[in-house]
Amino acid sequence: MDNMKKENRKKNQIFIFLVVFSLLLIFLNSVGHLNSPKNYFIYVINSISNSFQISSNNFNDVLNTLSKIDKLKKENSDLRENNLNIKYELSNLKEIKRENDLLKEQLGFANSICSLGGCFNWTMGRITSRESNNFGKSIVINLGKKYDVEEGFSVVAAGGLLIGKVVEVFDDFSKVMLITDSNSSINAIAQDTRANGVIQGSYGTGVRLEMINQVENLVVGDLVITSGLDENIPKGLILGKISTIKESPNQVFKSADIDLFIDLNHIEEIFIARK
Amino acid sequence: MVNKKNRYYIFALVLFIFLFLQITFLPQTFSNLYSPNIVLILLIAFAVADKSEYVLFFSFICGIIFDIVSIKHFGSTTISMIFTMFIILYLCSVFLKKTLSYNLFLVSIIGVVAYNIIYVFLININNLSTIISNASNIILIILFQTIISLVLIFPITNFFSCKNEK
Repeated sequence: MDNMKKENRKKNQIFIFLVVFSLLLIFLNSVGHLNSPKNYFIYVINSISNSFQISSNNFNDVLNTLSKIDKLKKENSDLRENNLNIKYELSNLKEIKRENDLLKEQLGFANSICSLGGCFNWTMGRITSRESNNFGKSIVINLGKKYDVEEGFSVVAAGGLLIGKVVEVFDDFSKVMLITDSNSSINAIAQDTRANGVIQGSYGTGVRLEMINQVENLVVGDLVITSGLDENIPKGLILGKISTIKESPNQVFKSADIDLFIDLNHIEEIFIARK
Repeated sequence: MVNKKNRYYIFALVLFIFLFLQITFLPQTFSNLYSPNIVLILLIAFAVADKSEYVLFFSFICGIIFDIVSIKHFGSTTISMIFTMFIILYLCSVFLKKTLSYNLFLVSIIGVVAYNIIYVFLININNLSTIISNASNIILIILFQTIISLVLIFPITNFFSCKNEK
């Protein structure tokens, strides 16, 4: 009995010591003293996880293909039909582009986009690792202070699809909080009905458009874009489309579920918008 | 069954491999909901099998490593891991006198649920309303982790158990 009491006391002491030590580390992290060891550690992890990225993507591709064969057949025939229509449009667009190039040359147009929030330049980067947490969603990219990246910059996938924003910057890389993270919130607007709201992440599983006034109209299938009210996030970046609308006369606001156009687990290249 | 002396070395090696896989390979292969927390499961199994204070140190080290690579809420994983292992050790000393199947199931469920609840609470201390509105997602994640732990805990516990030694 005495031995058991001694053992229990020892376990309690070790537990209290570890909790106090953890709190000390949390304090040191908050004042920035752990940035240097974190930098080296993440550099090593990223180097290793890079080599796994290709094999895990291949593995996922095989699984996805096997489960979606029927859907792929239908998609194939739809795409063939679209292809013919697009070829016709393409020939028209080539003529318009030629005219546009001539006009740009004359006006001295720079490689940037100007919108309500200011003008932005784009820098291309790559995802090097992803967070292993079940409740959050974040990635690490290979652009850092050396590329003039700052906290708050928006991160976009090809096609102008906003995927997240930079929350922590190191010398050679940065951490990005994805829009599906529960702490992410971005001002947005429905493109057709112009209803204002806030896009909030849902523990890494999706996003919702929240805080929409009851008098605003929402339409299923409407595109949701950034409103440009957030600093460092250009206006007009695509977030997704409305899939279901949730409203009740008892609630102050209504909300909508948003379908994303891309699978955030399969992006490799990204672009950072720098002001 | 494993020699008591070599047990900790083997456990440290297996834990290192699981930690490595969970940080580098699993998040890129599985989506958020279906990525199993194999480090937590291994620690719970070892805590139940060994019932010693060393599991607290192991959980502290794993928690610190996860916190370093995580984006925000530094310390949440460490605190959650330490508290979960402490709860498991307490339950083992009070209730788990004999390593019966029923007790193992109960302790593993309690361990997985406790870890996830403590972690969600720590990262959302300022935003409790979000927890309530996203309860269904949280419950799904906890349920999936519990199922995976029930499948894996028996073979791991048997491997590290010292019940035949005196």
